[in-house]
Amino acid sequence: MKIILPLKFALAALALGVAALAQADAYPSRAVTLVVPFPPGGAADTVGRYYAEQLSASLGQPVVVDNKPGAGTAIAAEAVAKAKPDGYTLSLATAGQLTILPNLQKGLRYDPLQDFTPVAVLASVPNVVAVPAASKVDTLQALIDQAKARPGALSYSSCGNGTLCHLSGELLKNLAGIDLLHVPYKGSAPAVTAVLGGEVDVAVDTLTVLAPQIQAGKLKGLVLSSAQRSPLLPGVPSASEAGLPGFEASGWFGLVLPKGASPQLVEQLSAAIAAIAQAPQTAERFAQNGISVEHSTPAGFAKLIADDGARWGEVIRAGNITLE
Amino acid sequence: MELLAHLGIGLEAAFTLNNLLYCLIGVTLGTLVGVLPGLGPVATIAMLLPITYGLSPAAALIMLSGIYYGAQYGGSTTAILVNLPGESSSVVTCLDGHAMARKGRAGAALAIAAIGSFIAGSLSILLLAAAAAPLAEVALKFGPAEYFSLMLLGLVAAVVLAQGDVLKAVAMTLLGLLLGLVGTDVNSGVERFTFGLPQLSDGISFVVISMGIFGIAEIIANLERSRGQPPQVARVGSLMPTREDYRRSWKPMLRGTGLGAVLGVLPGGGAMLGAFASYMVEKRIARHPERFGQGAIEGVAGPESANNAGAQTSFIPMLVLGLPSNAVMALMAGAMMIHGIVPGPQVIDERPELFWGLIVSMWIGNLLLLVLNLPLVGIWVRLLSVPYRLLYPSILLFCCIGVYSVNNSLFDVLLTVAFGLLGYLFIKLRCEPAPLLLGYLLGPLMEENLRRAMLLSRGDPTVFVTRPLSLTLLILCVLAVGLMLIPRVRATRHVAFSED
Repeated sequence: MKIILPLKFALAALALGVAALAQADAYPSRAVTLVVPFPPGGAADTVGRYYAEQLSASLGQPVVVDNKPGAGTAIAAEAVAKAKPDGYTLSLATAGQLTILPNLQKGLRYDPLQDFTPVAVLASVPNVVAVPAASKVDTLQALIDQAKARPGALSYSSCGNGTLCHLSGELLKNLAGIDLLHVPYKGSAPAVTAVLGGEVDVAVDTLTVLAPQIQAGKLKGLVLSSAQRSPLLPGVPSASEAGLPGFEASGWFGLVLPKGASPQLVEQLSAAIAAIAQAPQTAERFAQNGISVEHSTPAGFAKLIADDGARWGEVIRAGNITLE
Repeated sequence: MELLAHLGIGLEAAFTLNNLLYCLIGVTLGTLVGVLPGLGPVATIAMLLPITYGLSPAAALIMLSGIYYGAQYGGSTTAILVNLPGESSSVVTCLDGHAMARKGRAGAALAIAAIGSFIAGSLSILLLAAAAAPLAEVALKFGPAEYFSLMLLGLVAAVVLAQGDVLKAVAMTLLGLLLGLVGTDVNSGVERFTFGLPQLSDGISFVVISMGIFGIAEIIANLERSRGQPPQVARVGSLMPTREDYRRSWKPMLRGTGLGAVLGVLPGGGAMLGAFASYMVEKRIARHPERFGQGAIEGVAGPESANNAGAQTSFIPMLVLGLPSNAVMALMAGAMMIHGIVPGPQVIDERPELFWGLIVSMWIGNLLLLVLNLPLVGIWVRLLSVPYRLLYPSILLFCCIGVYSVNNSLFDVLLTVAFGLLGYLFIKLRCEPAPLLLGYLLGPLMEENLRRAMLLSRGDPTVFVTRPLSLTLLILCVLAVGLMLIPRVRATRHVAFSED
C-alpha cells in the first residue's frame, strides 16, 4: 500500500492539471466571429451587431462581426458550412438563406438542414402590402377586386427575384387568386422608389422598409403578413382581419453554428441568447424598426427552418418560379 | 425666409465644438482614404460604423458624410500624381490630370481640382438646402424608360466622341458591356458568365476593374519604361494655377457642377456618372478638343467639380425619402438606425437639427477641405520624387488592402491582378480603357431599365417615345448621331476622346 499514496498524489495532481487545462480551454478563450451575410447598414447587420455586442458582454470575449455579402447570402452560408464547429464561427442566418435559396438555386454548395447546427431564432419581421397614397385602393379587398376585374393589369415591385419580398407577393397572388405582374428591383430602395413614383402599383416589402413611408403618408398599408397588428402601424390590419388568414410570411434572423457543434456549446449559446432576448432593452432597441425579438429552443429553430423551407417550396412550385 | 430659419437651426447644430471636431476628423479621414488607392469611403464608413455608437446622431452623420465627400477631394490627388484613381469617381481625372503632372503642372492640376470641388460642393449644398424636397419628387418621376433613354444618350455620345481608331473604341465599349453583364440578371435571376463561381454572382466590382486596368497596368508599363528610375516628371513648376488656368476652368466647373448635381439626385446615382458626363461635354464643346488627354485643365476642372456635386446631391433621396441610392447612403441609413432614427420622409420634420445641421456641416466640411488641400499641394507634389522601388510596392499594397476591404474577398484581389494584366495588354495594343469603363457602367443599367420598361408597358415599345422626358433624350441621341454625319464634325471627331 506504500505505493498507493504517491499514486494518489499523482492522480490528484493530474486531476488538478486537467481541471486547470479545462479552465484554460473554457469556451470562449479567444475572439469569436459572427458572420453576417449582408453588407453593413441593413436590418440584418443591425440585428447582428446588436447581438454581437451583447454576446461579447455575456461571453467575456469580443464577438466580431464579419460581413460576407454576396450571391444572395450563399457566399456566407458556404463559408460557415465549411468552418470548424468549435464555436468561434457563428453565423447570422436569414429566412431567405435557409428556406428560399435552397428551393430555387441549383448548384448551391450547402444544405440548409444538414450543414448547420441551429441555436436560436433571434428576431422576425413581417411584410407589408402597400399602395401609393394617391391610389384609389384603400383596402386589401379593394385591391383584390380590382385585380380580378383586370387580371394582370396591376403590377407589384419586389426587392429582387427569389427574395422574401417576391415570394410574399406570390403568396398573396395564390391566396387571393389574383394575377399581378412581378417587377423585380435591385434591393428595397429602388423597389419602394418605383411605387412612390407611381411606376408600379403595389409594394411588397418588410415592415422595416415600408413603415416610415406609411407613417409619413406617402404610402397606404393594406395588410400586414402576420397574425397580429404591429404597434408601429396600428391602422394596418393583420392577415386574418384583412380577410386573408393564411397570409403569414415573416422574415427572420437566427443564429447557427457549422454542423457537428457539441450539445454543450449549443446549450451555452442558447442560454446566453435567451438572456439577451429577455432583456427589456432588446425589444425596445428594435421596436421602431418593426423588428420583433423572438426566442426559441434549438429544436424549435430547427423545426422553423424545416417548416418554412417546405412552405416556400410549395409557393415556388405553385408559382412556377425559377431563376432561369 | 423659412430657409434662413432652417439654416439657423443648422448653424446652431453644426457649430458646436464637438460637431466641428467630428467634421474635421471626417474630412481628414476622407481625404486620406481618397488618396489611398482602392481604399474607399464604403469600406471606411463600414469599419467606423460601430464606433459611432458612442457619438450623438448628429456627430456620427457629420463625420461619416465628411468621409464620403472628403474622399472626392482626396481621390483626385492620386489620379493626378500617379495616374491611379484614388477613389473610383476620379477615374476620369487620370486622363488629363496625370498628363498635366507629366508636363510639370501637377500643382496647378491639384489646386484646380480642390477649388473646383469646393465651388461645386458649395453650390450643390445650396441646392440641397433650397430644393431638396422638390428635387426628390422630380427624381421619382424618372422611370425606367427615361433611364434607358439617358443611358442610350451616354453611350451614343461615347461612340460619337470616340477618337482615333473608332473600331478599337467600339470594341472596347462592347467588351465593357460584356463585363457589365457578369453576375445575376436582375430581371430573371439568371446567372450570366459566372462559370459557377459564387464570387462572380454579384458581378465584377468597379473598384476591381478600375484598380486593375488603371492602377496595376500603369505600374507594369512604367516599370518597363523607366527601369527603376524616378517618374518622368519634368519640373514641378509653379504650384498655383495661372490666370489663364482660372479663365479656362470656371465655365467647366459650373457645367460640371450642374451635370453632377442632376445625375447625383437620380436613383442609383452618385459621383461617378457626373464625372464621365462632364468630361464628354467639355471635350465636345472645346474649341481644340485635341488638347484633351494632353493635359487640358478643363478635363480636370469639370469632372472634379461634377463628382463632388454628385456626392453632395446623392444625399437627397436618403435624407428626404429615407431611400439610399448607393452603397454609401445605405451605410448612412444604417448609421441612423444604430442611433434609433428611422430613415424616412419624416426625418426632416421630426429631427430638423439633424437634417439642417448635416447640411451646414457639409459646407463647413468643404471649406475645411479646401484649407486642408491647398497647402498640401506642395507636399503631395514632392511625393513624385519618391523612387519607384519605394512608391510602387506601397501603392500595390494599398491597392490590395483596398480591393479586399470592399467585400472582404480574396477572390477580388486575384481578379484585380488579372485585370491588371489585361490592362497591360490594352496599353500594348493601344486600346483606350475609358470607353470600356463607360460600357461597363452604362450597359447593365441600360439593359435593366430597357427590360423593366418593356415589362411595365407589357411589351409595348412606344413607351420610350410617349413619355416626354424619354422622347427628349431620344431626340438628343438622334441629333448626336446626325452631328457625326456632318463632315466638319467628322473631321474633329478624329481627335475627340484621345488620351495619349
